[in-house]
This record gives sequence, structure tokens and C-alpha cells, in this order.
Amino acid sequence: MMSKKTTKVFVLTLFVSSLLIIVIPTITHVVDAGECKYGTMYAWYSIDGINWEKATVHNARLKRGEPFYIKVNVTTKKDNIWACLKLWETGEKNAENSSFEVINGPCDIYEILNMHTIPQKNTIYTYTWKMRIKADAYWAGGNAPLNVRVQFNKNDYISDDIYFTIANIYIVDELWENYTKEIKDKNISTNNNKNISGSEIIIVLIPLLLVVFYIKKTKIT
Amino acid sequence: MKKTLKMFLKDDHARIPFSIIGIFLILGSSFTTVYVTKLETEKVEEISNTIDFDEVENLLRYAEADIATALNTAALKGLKMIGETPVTSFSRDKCEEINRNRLKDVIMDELNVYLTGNYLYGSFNDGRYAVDVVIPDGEEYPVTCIDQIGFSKDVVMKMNRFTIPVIGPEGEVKHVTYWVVYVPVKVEVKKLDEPSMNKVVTIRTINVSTIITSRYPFLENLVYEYEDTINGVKPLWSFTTILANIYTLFRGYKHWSTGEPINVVDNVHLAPLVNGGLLMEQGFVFGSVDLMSLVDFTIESGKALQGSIAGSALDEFNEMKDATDGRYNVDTSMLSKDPANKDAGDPFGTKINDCPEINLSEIARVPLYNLASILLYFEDEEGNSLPPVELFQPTGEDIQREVEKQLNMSHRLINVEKGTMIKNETTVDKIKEIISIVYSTEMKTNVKRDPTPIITLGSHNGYPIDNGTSSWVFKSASFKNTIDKPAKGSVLPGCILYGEVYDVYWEREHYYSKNVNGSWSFYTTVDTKTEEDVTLKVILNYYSRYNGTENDIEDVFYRNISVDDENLEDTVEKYVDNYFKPNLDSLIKTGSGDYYIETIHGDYEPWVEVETWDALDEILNMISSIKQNPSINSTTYPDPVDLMEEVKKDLLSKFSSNISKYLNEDVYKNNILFKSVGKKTVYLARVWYVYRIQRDIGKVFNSVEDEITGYLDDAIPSGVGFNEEDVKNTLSGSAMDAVKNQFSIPFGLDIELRNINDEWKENVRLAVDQYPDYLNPWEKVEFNNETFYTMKLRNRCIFGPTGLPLLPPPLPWVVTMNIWVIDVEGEYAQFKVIDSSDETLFNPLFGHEPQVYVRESKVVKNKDQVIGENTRLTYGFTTVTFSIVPSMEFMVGDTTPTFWDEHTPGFK
Repeated sequence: MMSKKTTKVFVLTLFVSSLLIIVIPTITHVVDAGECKYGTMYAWYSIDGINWEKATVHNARLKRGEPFYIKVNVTTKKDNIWACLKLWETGEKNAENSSFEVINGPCDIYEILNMHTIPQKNTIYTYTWKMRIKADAYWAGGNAPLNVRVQFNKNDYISDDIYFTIANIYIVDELWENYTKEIKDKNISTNNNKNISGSEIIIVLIPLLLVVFYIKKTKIT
Repeated sequence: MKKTLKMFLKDDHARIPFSIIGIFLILGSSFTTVYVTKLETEKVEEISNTIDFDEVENLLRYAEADIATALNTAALKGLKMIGETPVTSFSRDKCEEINRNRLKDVIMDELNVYLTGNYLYGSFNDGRYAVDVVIPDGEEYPVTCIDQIGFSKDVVMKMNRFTIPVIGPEGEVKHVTYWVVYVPVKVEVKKLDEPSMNKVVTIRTINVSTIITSRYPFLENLVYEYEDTINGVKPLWSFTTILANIYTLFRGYKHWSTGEPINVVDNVHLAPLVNGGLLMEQGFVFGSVDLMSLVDFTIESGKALQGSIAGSALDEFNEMKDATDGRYNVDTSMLSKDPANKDAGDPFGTKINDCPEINLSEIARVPLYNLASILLYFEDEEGNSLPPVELFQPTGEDIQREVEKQLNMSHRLINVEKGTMIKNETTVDKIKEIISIVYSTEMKTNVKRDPTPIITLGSHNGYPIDNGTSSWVFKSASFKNTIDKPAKGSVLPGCILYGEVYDVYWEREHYYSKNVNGSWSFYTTVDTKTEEDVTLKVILNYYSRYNGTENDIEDVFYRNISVDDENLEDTVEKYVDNYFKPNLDSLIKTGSGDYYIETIHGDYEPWVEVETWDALDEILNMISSIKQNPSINSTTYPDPVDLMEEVKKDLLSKFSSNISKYLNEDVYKNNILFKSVGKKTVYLARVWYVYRIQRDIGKVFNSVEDEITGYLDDAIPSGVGFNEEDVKNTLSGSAMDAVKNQFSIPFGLDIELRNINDEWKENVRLAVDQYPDYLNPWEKVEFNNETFYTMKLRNRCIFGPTGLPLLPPPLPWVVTMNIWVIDVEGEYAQFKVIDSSDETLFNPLFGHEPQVYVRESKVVKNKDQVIGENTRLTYGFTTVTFSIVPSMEFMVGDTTPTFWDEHTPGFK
């Protein structure tokens, strides 16, 4: 049986941790996100696949042939929403003319990735691509915006979309030193991530640990 | 025998009793009765079935009609949905196949619901018979797959519409307007009475077919037609090429004369021009435009082109006075002269002279004077004039480079003038050559000997034997007299200009001998020969032979004191001194015939060269005063090559009609003879110059035309789908006449459709709704959570801020030319066509709703599969414009820092 003091601490801790659960995700995940009535989308850009910058990245400079990574999170807001996703480049109409090519990822640029009907809302889908600037990119010496679009369908005829630019990349007209003409391998790297993120686990654990600490302390005293 | 017969008759072993026969008779009649009764029953039934057959047939017909209605309703629902999200991302044939399959899918779902709801359990009946649909075993629905549904031959209708050739679509076209769909439905007819317990009377497969009463195919085909019209080298390209050239033409002339506008081709003005073109094509294709787009076009074009401050959209709509009879008329000057005057700070009505005012002064100058330098005048940012920059013997590139350098320092070109001019040394030499030839004469020496000289033999008395002679040896010659040239006015070819007469004496030894008694003795005496009147003459062959003329000078070989002209008099003395006298001795001794045929050049006074050059200057001034016909201008001849050709003909004709004035022969002649050798020289120099200019006019203009064609050909990027011939044909065709003053944007026009045999017609009124209303290249639009540019423009001034002199120095600079390459591309965020006259789609709230066809960016799915995309309606093309202006002054080009690539933000 907990004492009154312990109970107060416990309630207070729970209250604070609730706030943290609300606030910290808001702080740590302040990214350019798209949102529509059926879902949301977040995107990141990385040069190494480890350190991610939130979209829209404006200061990316890459050489011809140089690789980079992008990651996209899609979440639905309602049950049984069908979704699809497409990467594309401003000013170009197809993959052949694009400045980008996919080395590894769930779909090619300009290819529609069918995410099928997502039965439960708040399901997060994460996709990662390794891409590179084409060695013969036409727009070398200029900017090439890489965009993502997600379409959510309530049925075959009612839908809503989210678009934004992940990165506005300036293509330096030099060939990347480590460029090789590697074979592209499009693996499905779908991560149907139903779990909450690591930071959220910590946020939940901290107050629990505090509660345990105070209970123990109370017992000792 | 008798016995046998008798016994046969009495034998009753085979006797059948009558009772048994009777039984058989009864049985047989019973069977017969039953059979006959059965036949009669069947007959009765047959009569009864005939009556039911008609009823069943009627019922089946009702069922067929009812199912056809349901089929149409299902198809309408399907087309309504498909019209909002058609698949357009593949080839048109493939898209049609996909969309038809989607329709079949909807039809199947809807029809199955209808059939299972209305054609099962005897629901559809007339009280006696019911029609039920047959559901195959193991299936839930009668129509089990979309392949059971098919399309019959489409209904094609032809339409006639208002259009303008070249800049509009075809006036008469045929389009698939309706689809015809069929589905075989298997039904069974049941008899609804207790005894028969819903017995199936018959099973039929009825082929239900209907025209789908929606004009979705028509809308789709019109949108495809519109898409074709606004992409590539098609009507919108033709319209834009014509209007943009008229625009560039007037702004170019304005820039040449005032230096403003500094940006001759400005994307600010191209935007409303292209919007106007898109609306016009929309009006032609659909008979209608988005009215709000028309209003916005009026507002935006007013702002961009005239600097007007617009009111609200409603005010503008109410103020659209130019909208009459279903057409909105646009004055072309709004797109050309108005922005030119506005940017130059002049009132809108200011006349802009679009005549190149080409004169022949440059062509006439070049033979006489070389432009040693050109002066470029600039002003700084504050408008202060700077000292002129003098370029020595510059090429066109030199001029361009200097102007670009000054532009980078924010200096503005305000004038180009001729600098130092020096005499063309080639012409100076030519004049000297003419003088030399005209001041020359050909002479020869002729020696005529005495045909009968007097020979006196020496005395040889006593010596009778003649032993021969030695050769005659010249002894002496005695001058008898000279021969002078003929009197003034009588010197003609063949006459003697000078002569000397001699008596010539000869001697020889003559040998004689005698034999006196065997002893010889010899005697030599001297013979003498006297030639009397040996004449040595200097004979004139011809004089002043040049360009087909000779021997045509008055009092030649006599100095003309009044004009101070040697007149070849000195040539006689020169000949005598150089050829006659040095060879006199041999001529006297041995001469006979013609000797020393020589050309002798006479002296001339300095005035001859001076007067010759002055005469050419006089002609230059006269030629420079020739004015080109002002009706030969860029409006009348928008194709610059045609313009040059007409100007050439005009100027050449005026030049040629004044040749006698330029030659002014009477000043140099008295009757048929020239007044003096010098005067003839001046005249011949005039002749040379005049006919040289006449030749040069043709050559220069032909070169200018070739240069224009060549530069245009080089300026047109490869792969754009047109060449310089296409541009010239467009500018000089009938379409130019149709729009150069005004063009119309149709709206609210009915489209009349007729079937192929003209047996059926219907009027259709379409509405168009586009987003955004005005395609603005400077503002992104937001649509469906995406922001993007719906119009992108780029114009490149090919020959820099100055343009190209044609022809480039040191050749005559007749005109200055520049070319712009214009790239247009863009897309509608959403483009919707609405069949306003369609009342067949049911809407529970409004009663009916129209069939629509929408183009926007959407992924299209069917159940869980992606089947394609709906794509935005895009437009795009490249074209070129020219400017041809007179030489010098401000020249013509975009004197802005981005002249080489002026593009709007969205243009990548």
C-alpha cells in the first residue's frame, strides 16, 4: 500500500510524463510534414544513411554520381485507407530524364509504390531509399528538387494527397571520386513499423523509474 | 377335289371364338380412343401455348427494356465516376481500354445488384409469368466477369464549329460521341400458377444492348484535341508565333528609335499573350471558355500590358464591353503597340512607325567611303551622358562586346553614329584607272617609200663588160617638209598626227671590164639612186577607248583652254619623242610599212580627279534621298525576308528610273561628242558608279535575305519540330491577316453534332472550368496540397543587346536584326469540361448532374491495384520572333543583364 506522499509523487510523475509524451515528440519531430484528412507524411534526407536532416533540405550539394539517402514515414488517420507513394523531380516527366536514380529502395523514381489498404489508422510505414545523382545528369550546374507525393484513397474515387520537396539539391558538375557503375538492387525495405519510437520508450520509462525510485525511497524512510 | 374343299371348309381346329375377337376389338378401340384423346389434348394445349407465347415474348421484351435502362443507368454512374478520374498516363488506345474496363467493372457491379434485386424469386412478373435471371452454379451473381460485357460499334458524330485556319483546330471533325454497350443476360421464364409450381417455361439469353446516354467519349476526345492543339507546332504555336512577332516588331522599332523599352521581349507580356492564346484555343475547341479565366485574363493583361489598375472581378466582368455575340474580342494592339508605348513612357495612341525606312545611302556610300570608326554613345545609371566610345573598323561582334561591357557597368546605349570616314582607296584607284585609259591613245608609224626611185648609172666608157654591182648604200637624206595634224575638229582615227618627208640618196659601185687582146682590165664606177618623198607618218589608230566608247571627243588632240584640258594634245609629242625620232634613221633608211604601234597616256589636270569624286558625291547624295514606300512595312510584310524583297524592288525601281539623272550626260557632251577628255572621264566614272550601285542593290538585299534566313535557321534549336520555312509561312499566311488587328475568344457557342447520315442532330453546350483561372508564371498555385508553377517562360535574345548589323561592316549596314527564341511550358492544376446540356445523370438533390471530364494529377486505382494515373493537361512549345530595324541609332536587343536567358522562376 503506498503512502499519501508516494501517491502524490506517482500522480505527479505520471502527469509530467504525459506532458513529456505530448511535448517531446512535438519538439523532436518538428519536421516538414505533410498532412491531409486521411494521413500524414514525414521525410528526411541523409548523405550517409546515419545522420538525417528533416525535409525540406535546401543546402544539399552533391556531385554527379554521388549517393544519398531519403526516408519517408507515412501514417493514416482513418481505418481502411488505401495509399500509394511516388518520388519525382520538379520539371521532369519520367525516370529517364530525371537527375536521380535509385540504387536501393522499395520503388524506382516515378514508379508508384502501392501501399495497399491499410486496415488500421495510426499505422506508420517507413521507407528508405539509397539514391544517387546520375553520372550524366543534365542539370549539373543547376538545382534539381526531389519531391515525394502520397495519395490516400477512401475509395476508388475519393482521395487526398500530400506533396512536398524532400531536398532541393544543387548538382555540382564534377564526377564523384568514388563513383562506380554499381548494379542497382531494388529490395523492398518496407518497415511496417507499428512500434513507437525509441525516444518515446525512454519518455515512458523515465517516469516509471522515478516512481519506483520514490516508492523505494519512501519505504526506506 | 370337292371332298378336299368340303373338308377344308368344315375344319374348325383354328377357330377363334367371337368373344375373343370381341375382346380384341374392345381393347383396340380403347387404345385408339386414348390416343385420339391425347392428340386432342395436345392440340388443345398447343392452342393454349400459342396464346402464352406472345405473353412470354412481351414479358421478355419488357424485361429486356428494363434491363437496358438499368444497364444505361449503371453505365452512366460508371462514366460519371470515370469522368472525374480518367486514366490518361498511357497511350490513348491503352487508356481507352483501361477506362472501358473500369466501366465494365462498374456496370457489372451495378447490374448484378439490380438483377439480383429485381429478377429473382419471380419479382419481375405480369401475374402469370415471371422472368428470373439465371445465376450460374457456384456463383453469386448472374454476370460473373467483365468479359461478358462488350462494346458495339461506337456512335461517331460530326461537328462543325467556328474556327480560324492555322491558328484554330479543324472546323469539321468527327468524334466518337457515344459508346454502345451490351451484355448477354440469361433468364428463365416461369409460369406462376399453383399447378405448375413455377415451372420454367423457357430459358433464354437476351442480348441487352444500349447506347450509353452520356457524352463522356465526346468530352474525352475534345480534351485530347485541345491537348494536341496546345502542344508542339500546332495552332497555339501558330497563334503565339504571329502575335509574338507583331509584339516584337513594334517594340523593336520603338527601341531602335528611343532606346526604350530596354527589354524588347519581356516575359511579363508573353504571359498574357499565351493565356489569351490558350483561351482562344479553348473557345475554338469547346465552344466555351472558363468565364472567370476570361475575366482574369482581361484583368491581368490590362495590368501587364497597359499598366491598368483593375477593379474587382465582378466589375471587370460587367465591364467586358468587347464581349459580343458569344465572342470576346481582343484588340491586337493591346498586345503590341500599347506595351511598347507604355514602356517607352509614351501615350498609348502614339504611332509607332513600323517601316524600316531603308534607304540606299549605305549601299551607295560603301564604294566611296569606308567607315573607319563607329561612335557608341552611352549614359550612366543617373542618366548622365558619357563620352562616346569610338570603335575603329569594328565588326558586329566588336560592337556587341562593347555594349555588353558597358551594360555590365550599368551603362545604357543611347545612340550609334558613324564616325570617321575615309575615301575608299579601291575607288580612288578605279578612278585613276579610268582616267588613265580615257587619257590614252594608240598610234603607229607608217613609212611610205618612193616606188620609182631615180637611178643614174655611173660612166664606164670603154669598158663594155658589166660585171655587176655592190648593194646600195645610204648616202644621205634631205628633209623636205613636215606634216601636221589635221585642223581642230578634224582629227579622226587613221589621220596623220605628224609626218616628215625626205629625199633619200643611195650609191653603189658598178663593175665593168674589157678584154683587149687577151688582157683584161677592170673599171669601177658609181651609180646613184634618189628616192623622192619618202614619207614617215604618225597615224592615229584610236583614242579614249573605254567601256565600249572611243573616238568621241570634241577637238581632241587640241588643248581645251576653256576647261583646262590637255585633251591628248601632248600624246603626239610623246609618241614622236619616244618612238618616231629615236628610230628616224632606221625608218628613213629601211622603213616600209607600219612600225611602233603604241598606247600613249596623256597628261591630265588635277581637276579631273577632283571633279570625278565630286560627281560621285553628287550621285551619292541623290541616291540617299530616295525614300522607301512607307506602305512596305513590317505589318504588311511580317516575314522579314518578304519585307526585304519588297523594299529591294521598290528602291531598285526608284533608282533605275533616275539613272539618266544620275549620269547627267548633257553636262559632259555637246551633241554626241564629249566636251573634253576630262569631261568624258568624269562621265564614265559616273556610269561606273551608277551601275555598280544598281548591281550592289540586288546583291546586298539578296545577301541580307540570305543572312536573315541563315541566322534564323541557326537560331532555331534542334528538335523543336519546325524550321525557318514554317515560321515564314506562318507569318505570311492568311492567319496573320486574321489576327493582326483583332482576335476573338469564343464562349457560349453551341456545338452542333450530327450523325454520319445527317439524320440526327443535337446541340451541345459545354462549360469549361480550369484552375487556376489565370496561369501566372510568377506565382505558384496551391492545389491538392501541392504548390507549383502553372506557366514557365523563357526568352533568349540570340544576338545580344545590339542585334546584328546586316550586312556587317565593312559591307553596307542596311538593317539591324535580332532574333528571340521563346520557350513556353506549363500545366493546368485542374481542367474540367462539363456537358451542361446533359440531363441524364441522376442526382438526388438537384435532379440531375452533368457529365464531366477532369484532368488533374491523381493515381487511379481499382480495388487494391494501381491501374494508372490521371495526368495534368500540359502545354508546351518553342517559337522564334524577329525584329528588323534601320541601321545605327539604338540598334535592337534586350539591353538587360539577363538578355541571354530571361526566364520565370519555374523554368528550370
